[in-house]
Amino acid sequence: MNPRPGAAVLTDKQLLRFRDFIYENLGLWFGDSKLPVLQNRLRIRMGKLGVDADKYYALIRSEDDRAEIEKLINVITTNETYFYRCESQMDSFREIILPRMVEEKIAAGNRSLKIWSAGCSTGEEPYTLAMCIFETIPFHSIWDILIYATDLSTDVLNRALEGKYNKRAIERMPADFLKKYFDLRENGLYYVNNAIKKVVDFEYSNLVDAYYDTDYDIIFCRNVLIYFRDETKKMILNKFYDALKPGGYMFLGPTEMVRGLVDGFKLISLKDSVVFQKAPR
Amino acid sequence: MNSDYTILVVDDSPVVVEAVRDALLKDGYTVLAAADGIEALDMVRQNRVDLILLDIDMPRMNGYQLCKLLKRDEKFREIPVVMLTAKSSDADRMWGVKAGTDEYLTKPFNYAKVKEILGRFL
Repeated sequence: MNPRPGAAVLTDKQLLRFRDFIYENLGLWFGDSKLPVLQNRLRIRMGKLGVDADKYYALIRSEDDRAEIEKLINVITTNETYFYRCESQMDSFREIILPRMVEEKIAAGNRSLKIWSAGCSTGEEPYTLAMCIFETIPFHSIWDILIYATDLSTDVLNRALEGKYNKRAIERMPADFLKKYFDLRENGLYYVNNAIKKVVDFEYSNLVDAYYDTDYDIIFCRNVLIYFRDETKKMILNKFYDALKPGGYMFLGPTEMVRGLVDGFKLISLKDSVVFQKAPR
Repeated sequence: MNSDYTILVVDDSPVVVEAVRDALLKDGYTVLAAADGIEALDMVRQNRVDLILLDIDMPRMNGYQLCKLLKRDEKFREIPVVMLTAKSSDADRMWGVKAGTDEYLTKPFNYAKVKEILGRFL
């Protein structure tokens, strides 16, 4: 493919150098099949800055410019995201897993629920989860609900915290969610309301770090592991295993599987999606 | 007397730790060092620490996480935290403020600036 006129040029050799740098410094791996995506996004970023590949490589390598690495992370990992993404999976969470879990908890006299949204980007996923929980749990205000939402970019976290979205981000939401959990302001943007915001705790964290709680009921980590190499994936999946309570659930992206990467998860087929349940090892 | 004060330097770069430690020792401070948030937390629990100079991007537990934990703990919340980091965007700074940092300094390391801040807090 020829680059667009005016777009920055990036040779294969240069591209591989970026790939290695990104892997060594961030743990994110772009396999051969994903190299065109990396190439494209690097070109966009270099084009915006008006620098060539060598200059850009020098820039991100200079220790003083961590800020540029942050921007690069945003450019290379930001996928389109919106509320109620992967509808069938969200429906399964809301209609099957959550009611099952809530019923068991009520029977056991336990009114707490802790969820980890790993790789939460601009907040659409954790906020959607909060809305599903509010819909499902009767008298949710007497529950101790926490959705811990992490990402490795402060830029997206600040946007998540702000909680304002355009029409496109909310168009797949069930219509009543929109009425109940958002305020539409004069600027035409939708603001997540405070009741929802109160149960979501955003934190800066890289999935390869080792600091985490071990009492989660459910973990969502969708379309994030695709950026890691198998050995890093193994490490992260084992971390998720440890972070979940016995019997806890893990939702990955619709095409992500754990076979050969981690032991101890039971695959459960739901309507049009699957979920992994922590089983004894 | 500066020697009455113990400063904890938290950074995963041995080069930065050495540079900061040397400068602080020269001014007579007592200096402790840790390479990540978890190590720093242990140090804070085991020693009297008067101020923390804290990097952000570190393995295991990052600086934002450590700061948040300390500021939520009534035993440690009074210890001034000064983030000293290469993360220089407004978003990074805002996140530092949200984590409860008392000051936010960006690298390269400027000892005059650090000294001024130490004078303010100690």
